[in-house]
Amino acid sequence: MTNRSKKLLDSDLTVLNIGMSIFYDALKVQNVKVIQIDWKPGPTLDKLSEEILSKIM
Amino acid sequence: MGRSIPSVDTHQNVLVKHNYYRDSLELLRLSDEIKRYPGIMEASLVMGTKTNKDILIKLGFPINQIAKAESSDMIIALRAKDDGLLLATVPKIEAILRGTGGERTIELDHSSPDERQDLESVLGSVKDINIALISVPGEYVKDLAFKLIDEGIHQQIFSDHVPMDDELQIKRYAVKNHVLILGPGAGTSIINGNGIGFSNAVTAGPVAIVAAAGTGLQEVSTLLDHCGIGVRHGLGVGGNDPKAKIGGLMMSEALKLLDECEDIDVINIVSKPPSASVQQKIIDHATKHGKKKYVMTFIGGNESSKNIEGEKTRSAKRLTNQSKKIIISNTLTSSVLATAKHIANINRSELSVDPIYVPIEDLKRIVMTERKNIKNEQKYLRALYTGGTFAYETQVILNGLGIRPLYSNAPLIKAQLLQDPMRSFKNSIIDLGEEEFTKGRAHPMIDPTIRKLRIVEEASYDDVAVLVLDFVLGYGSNSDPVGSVIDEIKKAKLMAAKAKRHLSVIAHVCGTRRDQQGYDRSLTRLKDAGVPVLPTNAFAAIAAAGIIAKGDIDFREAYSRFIGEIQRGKLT
Repeated sequence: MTNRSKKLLDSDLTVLNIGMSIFYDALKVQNVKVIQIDWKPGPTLDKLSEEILSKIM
Repeated sequence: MGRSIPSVDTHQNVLVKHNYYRDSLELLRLSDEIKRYPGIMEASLVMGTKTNKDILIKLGFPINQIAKAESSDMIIALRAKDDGLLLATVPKIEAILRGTGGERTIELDHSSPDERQDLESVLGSVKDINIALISVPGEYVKDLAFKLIDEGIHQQIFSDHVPMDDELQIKRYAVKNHVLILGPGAGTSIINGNGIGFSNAVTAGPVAIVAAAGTGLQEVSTLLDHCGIGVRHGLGVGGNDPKAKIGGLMMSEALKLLDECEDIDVINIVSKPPSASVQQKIIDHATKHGKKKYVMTFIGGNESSKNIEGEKTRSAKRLTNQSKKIIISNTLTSSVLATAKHIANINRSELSVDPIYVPIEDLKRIVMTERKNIKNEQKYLRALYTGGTFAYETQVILNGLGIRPLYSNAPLIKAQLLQDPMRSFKNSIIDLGEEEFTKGRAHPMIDPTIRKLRIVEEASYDDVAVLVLDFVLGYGSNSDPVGSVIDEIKKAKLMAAKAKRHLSVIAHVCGTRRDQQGYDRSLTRLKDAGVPVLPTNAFAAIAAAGIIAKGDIDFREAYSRFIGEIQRGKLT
């Protein structure tokens, strides 16, 4: 196994939390260093636009 | 801001905001806060998925307004004591959603806004990131995972609904780049004693767990904690990893990694029975290269004739004799006892498992007490699980004990598929964490709404004898899992009593005394409500089987097959 993976188990954690903030809170409570990423899904097309696009592409 | 369509109902209002996305947890928090406004009787802010629309209809909101919503729309459903309160509340919600403050009383998110950062800038500026916890909708996972692998960042992917082809590509690329991928579908991990995702406050110690079953990892780690045995690492690899298509890629990586950890004595592998090739790979690793003692917990491995791929299984018990360093288990409880046995042998000392063990006579007493008031027409059990591994384990035990007919929305055997997951039939084991209940909603370990409705509904059927409930404490879970449904449990029992029936409710609380929800307090409230609480899910399943079987269960055989035989709670 590589040093990179071994380091994960040996070092202090710094966690990127991408998504549900409840997990951010849970890590904070344990005094784990955590960074909350501001993630939002990309824009979604309504059904009509999807149909039009699928016809022309 | 989306377009709103108000309803005309005098005391109810349903608004549909088109193409308006909010995370299910944000909406849950907002709903809970608005329910606390004076005069508001019900407030449900949800995305317009089929499950959410069904729930709103069950809550009594008008179907004609709800039906219009698409899954990309947000529904705001309110019920108040009068029109004035309804009219006053809507602008407050709109203001909160717009983020303009106004009379805002809550933040949509616990993390302060300045702590929410842009991914690109964080990757460019923070150099010591070692793991990412990803819980975004499944279709967005692949791009994100590849980007993070390129940055050399290990990942725990909680997201479900990631296509298996994507999972395979992600994992192959990760192996090539020496990155660990836990998941997709991995809700739980423990790294160096820190819980990531749904996890419990366990003491660090000489055990490591590799799990393809999230609640399985929580059950094994908490039960070991009750026995005074610590868990340093618990790596959840996701339920698909042991399937032939993924080939146990991350299970193998995790085993190799943990074998190099000097402070680990025992490695416990927890999974539904893997595909034949993956099982062989795991056994070969342990027997030929492994440096530790191992417990291989293939839940139902000795009981079901088929494994995770539907292949016929070899008897895993035969493997036990190959090497004393490997013990094979078929339930989470027997897995913990096997781990404790390894630890007792390593330490050359006696070890008590009393905190998690129920002697046969005690279990029989519970069963007899519960069933003495149950009428002949009460024949069936209904299990409403928030933990998927518990739903699976209970099916293994009930099938093994000959409880028929048995159905589930996540069946062990295809023929036992429950036709309508929203409606139980005869003996039904419901996994409330399955897709049909979670699309656009928070997981049932966080949001109790569906289970609350279901507890009362099940109690209304004359032929139901037993409800089985799990309560999962710990990081990430609801702040009070027992408190959030205790009124419904009492109501269910009262409804049955008014109909001159005794409704038995059997519970198991998965947690430790250091979990923030209060383990002992949870137990006390259940017991005060007349609910026997068993220390493990396997004991709860055997007890429930005993109650509906009305005397036809051979408890000694059940213990021998699913618990393991020990001498008065002592292991040496």
